[in-house]
Amino acid sequence: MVEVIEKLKEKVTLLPLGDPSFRDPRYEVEKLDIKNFHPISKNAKDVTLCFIDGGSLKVATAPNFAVKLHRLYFNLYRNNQRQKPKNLPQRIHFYTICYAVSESKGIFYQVEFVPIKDEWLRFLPNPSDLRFYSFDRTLMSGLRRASASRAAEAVRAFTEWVFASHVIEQELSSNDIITRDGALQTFVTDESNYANMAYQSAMNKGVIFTGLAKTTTIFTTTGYPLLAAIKELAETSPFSNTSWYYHPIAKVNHPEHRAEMFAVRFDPRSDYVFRFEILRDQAEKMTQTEMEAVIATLASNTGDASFYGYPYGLVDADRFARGSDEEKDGQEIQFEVAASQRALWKKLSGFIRTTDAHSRLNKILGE
Amino acid sequence: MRAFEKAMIRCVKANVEFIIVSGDLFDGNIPELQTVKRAAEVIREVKDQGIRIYVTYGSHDYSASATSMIDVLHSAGLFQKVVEAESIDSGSEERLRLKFIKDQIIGVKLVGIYGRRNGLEKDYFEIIDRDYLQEEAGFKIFVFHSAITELRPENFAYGETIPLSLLPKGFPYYAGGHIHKRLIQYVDGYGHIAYPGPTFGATFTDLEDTALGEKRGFYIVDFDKEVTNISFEQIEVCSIVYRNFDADKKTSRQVSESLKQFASEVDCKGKVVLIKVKGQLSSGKLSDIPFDQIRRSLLDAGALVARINHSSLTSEGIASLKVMGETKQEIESRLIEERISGYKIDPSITDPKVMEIVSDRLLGKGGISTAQRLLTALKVEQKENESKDTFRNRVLRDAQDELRLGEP
Amino acid sequence: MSSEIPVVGSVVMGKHGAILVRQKGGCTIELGDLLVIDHVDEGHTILQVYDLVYGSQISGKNLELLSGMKLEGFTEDFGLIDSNLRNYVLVYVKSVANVTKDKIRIPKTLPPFMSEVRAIREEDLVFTKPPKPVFLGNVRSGSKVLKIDVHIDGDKMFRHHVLIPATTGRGKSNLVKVMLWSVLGQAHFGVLVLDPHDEYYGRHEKGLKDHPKAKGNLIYYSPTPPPGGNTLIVNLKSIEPNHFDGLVPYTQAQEEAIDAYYNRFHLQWIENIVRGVSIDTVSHSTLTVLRRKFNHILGVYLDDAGQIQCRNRVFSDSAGQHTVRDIVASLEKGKMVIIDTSRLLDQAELLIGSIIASAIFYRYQQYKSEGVLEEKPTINIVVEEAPRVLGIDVLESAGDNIYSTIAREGRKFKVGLTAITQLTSVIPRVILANMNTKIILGNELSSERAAIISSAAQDLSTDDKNIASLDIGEAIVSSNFTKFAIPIQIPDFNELASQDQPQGKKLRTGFV
Repeated sequence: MVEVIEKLKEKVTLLPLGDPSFRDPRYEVEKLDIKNFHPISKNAKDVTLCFIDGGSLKVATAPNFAVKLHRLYFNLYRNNQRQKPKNLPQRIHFYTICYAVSESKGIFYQVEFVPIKDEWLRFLPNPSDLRFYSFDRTLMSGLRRASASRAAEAVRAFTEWVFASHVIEQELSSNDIITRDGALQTFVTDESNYANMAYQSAMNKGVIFTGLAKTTTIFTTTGYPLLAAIKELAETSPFSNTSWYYHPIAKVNHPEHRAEMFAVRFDPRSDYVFRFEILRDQAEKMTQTEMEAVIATLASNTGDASFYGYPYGLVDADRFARGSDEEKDGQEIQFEVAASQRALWKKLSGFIRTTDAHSRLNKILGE
Repeated sequence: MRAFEKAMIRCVKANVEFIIVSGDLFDGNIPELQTVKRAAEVIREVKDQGIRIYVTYGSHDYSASATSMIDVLHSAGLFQKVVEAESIDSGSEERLRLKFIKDQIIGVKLVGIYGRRNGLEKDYFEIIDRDYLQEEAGFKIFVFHSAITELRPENFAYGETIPLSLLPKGFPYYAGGHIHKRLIQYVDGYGHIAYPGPTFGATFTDLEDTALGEKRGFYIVDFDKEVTNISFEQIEVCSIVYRNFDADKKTSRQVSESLKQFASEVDCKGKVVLIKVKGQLSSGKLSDIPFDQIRRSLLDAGALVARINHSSLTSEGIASLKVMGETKQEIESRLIEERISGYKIDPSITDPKVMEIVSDRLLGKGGISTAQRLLTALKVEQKENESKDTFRNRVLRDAQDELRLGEP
Repeated sequence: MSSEIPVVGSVVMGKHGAILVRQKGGCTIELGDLLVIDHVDEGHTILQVYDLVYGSQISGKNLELLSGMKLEGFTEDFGLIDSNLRNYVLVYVKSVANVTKDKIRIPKTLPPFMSEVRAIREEDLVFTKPPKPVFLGNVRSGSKVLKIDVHIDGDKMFRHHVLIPATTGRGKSNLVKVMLWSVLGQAHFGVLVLDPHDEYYGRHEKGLKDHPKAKGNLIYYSPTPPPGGNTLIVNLKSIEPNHFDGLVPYTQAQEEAIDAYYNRFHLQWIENIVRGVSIDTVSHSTLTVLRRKFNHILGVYLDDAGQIQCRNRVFSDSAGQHTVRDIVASLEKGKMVIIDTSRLLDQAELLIGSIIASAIFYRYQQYKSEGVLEEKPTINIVVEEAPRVLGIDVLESAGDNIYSTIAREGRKFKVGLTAITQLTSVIPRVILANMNTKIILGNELSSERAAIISSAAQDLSTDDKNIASLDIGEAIVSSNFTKFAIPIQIPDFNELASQDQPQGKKLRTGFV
């Protein structure tokens, strides 16, 4: 193991920091500079913060279909006091069924929703719009055909954007801030359509749309992880022991990534630096003071001891959006029972068995 | 009367300073005039010797509603009643202050409280100003006519009693009456508590006790600053012949024969004859036994007094009495108690004042007392030379008095 | 659920007898609280709190760290958002009663998951007053007192014995006074109170003597009675050899000697022993020992003038011939008799109790054989420091006594005990099992609590903390004659006595 560490030391830790590096030319990079660190003030705005997240549970997957239980959840905080939603259910659950359809051009995946409550259907995209080519590069893993499960997962992302639109329209007011878990970047074909709808709702209402990514794979020119480089740079700056934000990183002109990027360390007690983004259309119209106010407002929500430096609203959203393993097992059993009652289990399990040997092995080995 | 005379003569001979009679000098508030006359003569003779006599009422010779013969004799100056009291309001409590009567010759202080039927004097005891009595200096005597709960003798089975704690403490001598047995007890914190018992005896039980060895008489007490000596002066008036017949499993005929035989054989001249018949007859009725005839035959044979007690005799077939007792008074008392305990106020009575009166006089303890007093009032005998009308009116008046109909 | 009644919690998990309720933020639920879940259709379930624990969505280690940071001044606050949601109190409750209309039943099902729980109101619990009621106190929910009187059928309670276990200072005397106050004047019960601390009559303070019906119904015996009280004098002829059974140990020689004197002199056996009258079959040394024993136990000795004296003035060869009979007669008439034994040694006190208890017990045995027992009032004997007569050690060394006999068999003859004790664990289980009503006051000794709990009429296995936390005047009534173990607050006797005074002018006694 020592040898392993020595090699890492040489190849990974001793690199110079470099500058942000983007492959796409639509990113105009700003060199890393200590001058780009700014303090985060304590002047939080008296506005509502909304945090939104989604989660999914696998119910049954096969090469030709996938059934997932998706959850979408949002919360509202004002001065760190939880607020009750006025109009919308705080959490919705729905099954997403993604099934393979053979057409002349190949295998496509079609989607249908089965919400737990019928009235929640209105919060979901029109399923007839959701149709994926099984060899869509934005869904594939390498050269392999995209799975129905992957398609179903992509659909969740779409539903998050749609739900966000409803939340903005019915629960938020001008100057309120909505933060999604993840960057303001879309990856899947047609996903940007839904993202743009959400952005438009926000711009119409004057609600500031932001995103916070827990992870990022952006590198610097020397192969350093960007956020690690910024963090290391911060330690040589006057802000080594305080909260700070770093801006600008790059000017983004990408249609799938309508964001003004920041790196932030929200709380001096935290080791974590996150990638924070404000909708570019809104950020362009803000003064620095206004941007700082947005960051400061969000920072006020990051002082919870369970995770210093990370918005508590997102901790909460994650807790209520995600599903547990016990729940997953329960869903699988319910699926099997329902299928058996309709004499379908034999056929469906035949499909499932073609791809579940690995998870079966995991169970045997106790993972 | 003979016993009383003997006692008075003995007192004169002993040269006593004064005599205390702790109640029941007579057996009724208006006794036979012949008896009163003789008693007054005796008392006068004693008084003429310079001996003072102090008296309190007893449960028999007192009447709340009418004048008692005791009052008459007191007014005539033959003796001094020792009961004088005034009500005093002490804060929220009512107090009864008994007044001391001071003997003019030797300065002894006497104070007393009289007895009433069924122990009603207990109410007075509860409110007497004990502190006042206890604080009085000098040699003092407390005269009373009540049974003390803690001291009553073994066969004293009925009647209300007064707990010792109601007596004022610190009197060298407590002259008690009412109990028909001789008893003397020194009690710490109090003094000598004495019951001389009757000089002769009024009831069958008294005479029976005498026949069985109970001495009758009175106490002579010597004292200076303290009591120095108490001696009992026995009085014997006449012999008592006492016979107990066990009638268990015998026929009425057999019992009759036994009694007749006894009556014919016994030497009863000038004596008191007591016969007690107990048990359960195997056949025949009680009415088959000529008790009255046998009694008369004894009197004809010269007995001074002849009494036959058959209250504990039963015959088969008669439901056994639920109440047990050896004397008529006991049985009467318990029967009345039992009967009255079942009474309740008629629910149609709603006036609170009426309810209070009914409750107080006709139910519970009050009811028992009223019934007993009524019974006593109704069983008096017509006096010599008393006309029927006078007798009837007297009985009626006494009965009405006992019912307290005139009271608010 | 009525909008007027605030919800205090919600069922989250658990099992029968151990249901977990999450306490609502801002509410305070106490140990011993009575809570209610309303049924959908009709009626409601009453729950009782027996434990409280902290619950948190944050791990224990993190909480400890947060706390430490604040304590040591590293941070101004605990830094928790949604604190009420994530940190809360979990309440352990058990269902104690299902109430529908006016019937109370023992619950056999679990309430629905996530049921809302509210505080109890007075209307939720309506007890029907029994025909011969003994008042014990008011229903208590935690430390709150409800205006619901708790009565038990005295006939059953007294007949089937009562145990009052409590350590010092928990309000035993107050409880007994409150009970006796409610009983005084009711002719259904005759109560004999052996009072070793002279605290029930009220010689110098408020007591039973102040009851409006005390006159004629309350009889007080004391060696030094106040005016109106009876002097406690017991004639030596009232004492029989069997009265010492289980109270005073004798050797075989002494027992034989006592039998000999009793056979020869019958009821004057003690007098003749004290006088030193010798008889052939008894050795001089045995007689001497017995004289010394009676001197010690009874305080009885022969003075220089040849008179029998008594050091404590309680025993006499001349006075007090009717004392025991009077007491028994009073009890039979449904009166209350208090005997002040504060000036007596233990053995003398117990002996007096033994004499009276034996008289009553054997008389009532006779009534039963005659078929008239049911016409007689139930008699109860209140004994303090019950292990003196009911303790395992005492019973094993000295054998059964009248108290243990009554404890085992008394209920057949309508004679019961009220045993007051600090140490329940020393009383045999078979006797404890016969004591069908236990009025449990606070007890800090866990071994004692265990003994009480194991012999209770209801399942109190979860009430250990409840019992340990009972404050002065708080109690739990566990009885065969109640549907569930009722938490009560016993009112202060002095206040109760002050309220119950007769209105209006007292009648004056006219001296004629």
